[in-house]
Amino acid sequence: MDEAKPQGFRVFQPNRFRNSPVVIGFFSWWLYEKPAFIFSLMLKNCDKLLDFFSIGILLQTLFLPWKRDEIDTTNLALDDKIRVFFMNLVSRLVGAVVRLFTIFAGLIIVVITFAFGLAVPILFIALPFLGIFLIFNSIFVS
Amino acid sequence: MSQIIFDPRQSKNFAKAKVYHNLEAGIFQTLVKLSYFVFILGVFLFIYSRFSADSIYVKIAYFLVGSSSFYWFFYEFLFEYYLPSPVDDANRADQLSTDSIAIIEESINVTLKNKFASIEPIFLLAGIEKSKEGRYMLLRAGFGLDRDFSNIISSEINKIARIQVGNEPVFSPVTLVCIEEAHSNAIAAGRVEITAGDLLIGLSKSEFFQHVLFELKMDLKDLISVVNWYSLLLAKSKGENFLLKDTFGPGIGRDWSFGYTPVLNRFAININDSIEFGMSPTVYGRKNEIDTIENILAKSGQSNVILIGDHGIGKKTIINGFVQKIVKGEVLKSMRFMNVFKVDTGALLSGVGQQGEIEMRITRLFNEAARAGNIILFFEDFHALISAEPGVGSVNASEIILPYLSGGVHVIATTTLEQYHKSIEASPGIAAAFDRIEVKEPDETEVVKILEETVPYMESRDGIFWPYQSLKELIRVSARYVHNKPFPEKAIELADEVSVSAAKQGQKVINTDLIDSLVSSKIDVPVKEAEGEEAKKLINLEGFLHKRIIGQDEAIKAVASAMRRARTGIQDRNRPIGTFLFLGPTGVGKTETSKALAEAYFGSEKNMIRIDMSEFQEQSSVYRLIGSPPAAGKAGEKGQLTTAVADNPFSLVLLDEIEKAHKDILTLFLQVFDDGRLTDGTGRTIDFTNTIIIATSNAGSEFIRESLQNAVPEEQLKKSLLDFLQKQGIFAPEFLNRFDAVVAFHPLSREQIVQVAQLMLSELAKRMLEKEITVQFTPEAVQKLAQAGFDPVYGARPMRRAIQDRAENMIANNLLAGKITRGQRVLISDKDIA
Repeated sequence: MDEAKPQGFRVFQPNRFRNSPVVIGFFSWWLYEKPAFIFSLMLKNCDKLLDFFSIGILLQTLFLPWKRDEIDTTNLALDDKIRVFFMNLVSRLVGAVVRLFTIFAGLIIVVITFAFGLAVPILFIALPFLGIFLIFNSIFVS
Repeated sequence: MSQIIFDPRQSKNFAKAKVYHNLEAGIFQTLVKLSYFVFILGVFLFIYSRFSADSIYVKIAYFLVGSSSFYWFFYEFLFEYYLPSPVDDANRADQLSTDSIAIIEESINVTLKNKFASIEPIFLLAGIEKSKEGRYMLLRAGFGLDRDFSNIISSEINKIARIQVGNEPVFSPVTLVCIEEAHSNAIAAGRVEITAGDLLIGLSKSEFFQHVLFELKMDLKDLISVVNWYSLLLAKSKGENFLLKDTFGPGIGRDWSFGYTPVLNRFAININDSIEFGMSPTVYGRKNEIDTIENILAKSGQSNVILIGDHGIGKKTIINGFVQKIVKGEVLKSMRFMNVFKVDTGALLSGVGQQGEIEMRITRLFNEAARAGNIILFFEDFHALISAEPGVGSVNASEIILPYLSGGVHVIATTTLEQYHKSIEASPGIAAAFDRIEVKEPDETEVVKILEETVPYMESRDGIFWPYQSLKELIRVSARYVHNKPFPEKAIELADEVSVSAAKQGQKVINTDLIDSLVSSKIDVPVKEAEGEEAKKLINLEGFLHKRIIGQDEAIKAVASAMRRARTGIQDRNRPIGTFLFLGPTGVGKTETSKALAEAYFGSEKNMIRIDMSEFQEQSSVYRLIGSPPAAGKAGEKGQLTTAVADNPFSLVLLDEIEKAHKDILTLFLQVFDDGRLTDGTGRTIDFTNTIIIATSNAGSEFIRESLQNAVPEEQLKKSLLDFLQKQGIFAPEFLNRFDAVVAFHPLSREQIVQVAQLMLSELAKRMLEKEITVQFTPEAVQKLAQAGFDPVYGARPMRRAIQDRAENMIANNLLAGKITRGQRVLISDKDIA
């Protein structure tokens, strides 16, 4: 019966303070548990993005020819060898440029996600204050 | 440790659940979705307000953003913090899920409404039935499909003795036991709270619900499966949260770090692409095999895998499942960027102009795969590439392939066990380069799980509903009666057929009768458990057979008992339905009994395969019986027996004059009698589990005659007959012992000969009645015909000829002469018969 998971809103999250007095339990959830959960979720997604952009494999194969399209130079005349060498060099450069571009794009997205991961928990802590502040402002501040 | 109680009044969870129900959770969730729009609107208004002099826009923007932010926090607080909190370990009521709380509340209400003092299991069931998930599970278990829930429940309530009327009902001891069982089940299933499904399983502790389950032909194991099935469907319907998934897929490195594959694109199909574009069906089950492939291929160095199994057993399905795992990014890191190419061996080996071109193609293919760096080559029927005897459609490329297998390229291959021994083991280097996986049919438990995942698609497609019992019946009949395909394919295909058929008939619920009738109509054999008229027929089978057979009580009793065992499911499933050796002189009813049995069991005499074993006296004639393998480009010979049984698996096999067959041929039947299967000349396994096998023999006829003349008792006759047959070397003891029954047919007495004549004449009279002519025979006429039709050597065999010559010819002549006309009554006396 391992596939049976708790469903709906009843997802149980371990809470050290669950059986503590309501006030302590609430503050621990608001200021620590929930923000920590959101942050860990964001970290996990950063990891998934690093994986998706295949940063590791792109770095390992950075200077390999594009699509591994390389011409063998054995048994070629010297001038042909030089020509093929430059063609292979171009293939490697193209590969490196495309991979570097992907690595940078991936890293930027990961950094943005990480920043988001830091901002959202803080925003969550501020959410009730922010709500009250904005509603108060809309009604009472002219 | 505090004492375990069940007290909803002291449960904080109950109080919270009331809040939840009063608040109507659905509205809250809708409001969250609405708040996203409100927030975005607020942001737009705020931007707009920057360009507007009117401050009202900024005020509205503040209000919209502020209120939606505040609502989000409140929503999170309510649903993530306040409501989900098992509080008191000692009070089971605190460990109930919100839906279970509603069930308990409902059961209290029903108890009060019916003015009972204690909450009995039936009230708990009433509560479960009222909940959405409980009702769904009950319907899956087949409860309430034929009758309305409320009727069943009210009739059950009426059966309980009312002790006293009270305003504060208490939980009865049995109900408390049920709840405790529900708790144990939740713990065993790793759930943190008691769900409606757990309560349903808990109910099985009550006698009343055990009776309900018995009526529904369910047991506790089935009920647990139903609850798990519901959990699975629920989890699927909710989908997987994008942020909570383990991976976003295989990643873009697959395309940007590895090589071009122009040769492979010409001679192979990229399975990753077929799966990504949804061109391959989803694979269910086969987890072990898929994981094993993954682990083998992830090894460094030599890592190739060969899947061995019969055609249609699911080897390709397993590979598709493995590729699905790659595409979803759920494989080990070293496997993540792999592309699996299925090599089209036909294309690779065809259209070749020059000598050595095939070898060149194969070399280029492997070179390219090695250079690309992320290729797994999949060869279906790998033996065609390394055949020890290359012919049309096969080569021996083992020398070319071998160097690549030691680490350059990953290869997945498939073959059959026979070809593995024949072709692959002939190249020890190749055989050593592969890790073997023997693919077997999944067992029935696994098939249930696979069907639980596939059936919901059919349900939504055809607007039908599959109760759990029907799923079980589907598996039973496909295991028992469908032999041309392996599991799970045969079960899935049959489920599909049943679903479509039900949809066409406008039937919403798939019942077991529909499955049985569909399969019965396909194979012309009753598949349903014997009941009603058929059960009566089975009970009176001796009478039915005696309508055609005179005397031979022992033989009739033996075959009738075997049939009853078969139809009630008592007999061993892995053997033929019945195996009998009929011994006795010619013309005493051995063949007639076989025909009568074929008619009784398989519906028609036509379902009898008759093999004259006197044609198989030579050892070499075995190939005519079971077929021969193809040789030197020629197709193999078809086996008389194996082809007939493969084409008509539901038949009576009559092996006439078995004693005349060669001894080696008799040995073949030992496996058939024991395991219910026989491997034919081409290596195909022929299933005999749905056949009745009757062997007849005249051997020992004289012995039987003499014994009967000496008034030897029946039991002693049988024993001494078997001894006689063994001593004479006619049959080996192991052959005789394999039969369910060895039956001695007695020579017919004078009275029985007359009865045979009467039987045949009544058949003639019946035929004449169709022409509206009533024919009757005087006792003297019957006697005369009986005398004419009896032969000391051939028994009653000449009887039919005698009736034809003397009675039928006379009637025919009189009909032509106009002496007998329509509507006339004719009495034929001994004088009329020549």
